[in-house]
Amino acid sequence: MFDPSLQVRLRPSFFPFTEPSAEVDITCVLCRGNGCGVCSGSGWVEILGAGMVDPRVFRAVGIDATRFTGFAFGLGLDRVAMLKYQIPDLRLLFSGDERMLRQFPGGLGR
Amino acid sequence: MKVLYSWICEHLEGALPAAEMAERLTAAGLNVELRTPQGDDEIWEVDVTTNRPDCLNHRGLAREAAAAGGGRLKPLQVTVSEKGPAVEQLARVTVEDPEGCPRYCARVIRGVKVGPSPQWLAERLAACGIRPINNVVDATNYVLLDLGHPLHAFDLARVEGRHIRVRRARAGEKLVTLDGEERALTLEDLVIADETKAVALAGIMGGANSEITDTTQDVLLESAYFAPTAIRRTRKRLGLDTEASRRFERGADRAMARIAVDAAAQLIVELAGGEVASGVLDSCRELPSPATISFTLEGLSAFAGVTIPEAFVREVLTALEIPFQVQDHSFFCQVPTHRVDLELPEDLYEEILRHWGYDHIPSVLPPLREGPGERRGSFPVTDRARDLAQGLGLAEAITYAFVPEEVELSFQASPLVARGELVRLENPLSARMAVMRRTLWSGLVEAAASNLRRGAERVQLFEVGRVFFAREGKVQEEERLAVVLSGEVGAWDRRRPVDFLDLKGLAEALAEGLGLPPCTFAPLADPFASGCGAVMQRDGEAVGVLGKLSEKAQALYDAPRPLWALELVLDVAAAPAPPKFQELSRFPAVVADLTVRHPLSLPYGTLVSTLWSLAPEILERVEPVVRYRGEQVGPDEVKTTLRLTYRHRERSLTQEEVNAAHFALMEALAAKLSVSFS
Repeated sequence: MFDPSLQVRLRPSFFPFTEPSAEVDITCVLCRGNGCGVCSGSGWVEILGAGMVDPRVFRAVGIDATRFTGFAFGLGLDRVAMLKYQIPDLRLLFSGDERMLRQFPGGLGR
Repeated sequence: MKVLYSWICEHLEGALPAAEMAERLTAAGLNVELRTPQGDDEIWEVDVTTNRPDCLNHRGLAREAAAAGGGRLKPLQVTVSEKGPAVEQLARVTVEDPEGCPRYCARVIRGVKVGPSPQWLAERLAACGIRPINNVVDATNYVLLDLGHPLHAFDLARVEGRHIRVRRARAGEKLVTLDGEERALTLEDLVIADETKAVALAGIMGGANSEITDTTQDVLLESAYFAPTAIRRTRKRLGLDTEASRRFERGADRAMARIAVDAAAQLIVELAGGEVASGVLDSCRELPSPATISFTLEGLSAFAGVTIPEAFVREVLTALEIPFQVQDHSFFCQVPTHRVDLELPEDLYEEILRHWGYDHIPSVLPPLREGPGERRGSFPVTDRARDLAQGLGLAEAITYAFVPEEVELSFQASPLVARGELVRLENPLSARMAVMRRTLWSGLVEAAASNLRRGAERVQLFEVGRVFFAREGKVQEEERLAVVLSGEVGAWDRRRPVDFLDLKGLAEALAEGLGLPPCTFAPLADPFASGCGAVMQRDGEAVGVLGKLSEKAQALYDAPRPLWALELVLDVAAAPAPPKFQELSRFPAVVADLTVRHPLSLPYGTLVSTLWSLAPEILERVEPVVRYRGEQVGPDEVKTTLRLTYRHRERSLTQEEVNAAHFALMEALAAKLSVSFS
């Protein structure tokens, strides 16, 4: 999805439905890790959340947690589009402004 | 949470330098998001996840830093010098609601001199975002930030009967909190009260009627454990989010309540003078027996996908202050009072693995037996719709599915909107996002209009998306394709305004490409301008609508040009049937024009379909040539010229044959439709 020279790191986090939980960061595409407004100076931008499915979730839907483990992850497409194409404002994606839309000849949905 | 690096280091031996410690804490799951230098020190903004209230203080973070290799945690040593009478002679506590308040500890400090705190303390509080008030209150906040336990200081003289009662509020009871607001209490609210009245909102905020002032001499220091649910309901209802409520809601440390009261009492005396009375009032000295979690080394390693050595597990558990016993590679752990998040073996696996380092666990792709997936469900149709629309030169927009109600209702005359009831959100973020769209126009028309308002001279947008209906108590979704055109088409000296034929051409091209069932166009009034709207129908059911929006519908938009809109139902799309080849004839065609004079009310579609129904087999093609309205016909009449192409598959036609067929057709047409020719 991104420039292969960007770093990726996995960081422990918390979601009520995964245990252990993690968040994945990539080097900030804008400042390349030097620190800027987009990454709040940290040099990293969060891109997705993930984790092993919490056994309590399995139990709630009737799956035997002693027999199965699970892995889950999720990312926001809007956010990834913003990072990949360096679009500064999320609202631009939903504004329908042709000056923006026509910069993506293959369509926004690609 | 804002913390000071130097303060964390006070709890550690051999603390690593700031940069390294911050990195290790982040790698262990306590994300140090921002580091701001402050002289020799640093203020850190640490993102403490909601499951770790034990880290909402400097000692907790120090413990984590130590477990992550950032130093060694110093044992906690809290001493307090007592003097004078026993505390039981000076005050008493009755917990009337032990469920809401499982433990209430209190000390009394006599003869304090209330004044401002020393600079070092005020600065530390301010750096961590807490406003210094006076030495007594600041001492409690200092212990809050240091050890994590919320305490409250009362002016003992203002606690009537020197008797603290922990109870639920009475109906109609009121309390003015420290922020000056009067709070109306309910039977659900837990309060700290004296003999006659409430003096504090338990675990959230103290009352103004008992607060520490310049004249306070004797302090009653509260250090309690309140049940999370009791605090949460009240906090939510009153919208009162405080440092104390946050910690009690997520789960405070029952054992720390007893330690913190000593630490705070000692600090008060150091800052404000006075004497700590002997002993502690404690409503419940016994701690409930801790829960046990057991796991095997094998289970842990299987879960991790990596062999974790026993020595490492011991190291981590010890550093996190989780007591354990080992027997035959099985670990038996007792959940300490400061950890509210540990319940299952998986919770402990996370503790061990996050300190092991996620980046030290090798990455392996799981074997995928089935191979790459395919796009199923509605994707093949929506993908094709997008490709077609883009191929036709339209730009794809994506708008919100939540729309303002008045916009939704402005289109309610459309047959595609009337297919079900409006879905209303119970808790909309704003009035502009209050209902769910039943037509893509609810967002797309505004998008088009905003382009026009910005000065665009041509707008050609499409959207593929879902619309929502409330039917039979459920919400049902439908896939749609919508197009909005406005402004001009063409280039150079051949520019002209967009018109109905442009829109209809798109509709037909899209319908064909999408395999929509063949349909007829019939005129449609609302929400379109008169004579400029149509519905596409198949077996009496609407599969599309198109036209120029009426002035009324357009009124919401302040658009400088007319808006032309189309919407198609995608759920009835199908893969177009493979064509069946028709042999090409080797014989020439004969072309004849036919000019039909007819009322305006006869649609072109009907004229042509009737023609076909009456046509001889040799009629191969019918094409429109021109339409005439003007002096030669009446005001409600029109002359439509069609070009008919005749061809026989197997032989050449003679002119006589063609003439005969052509005139026969004209007669039949005139008889059927009451039209004339000229």
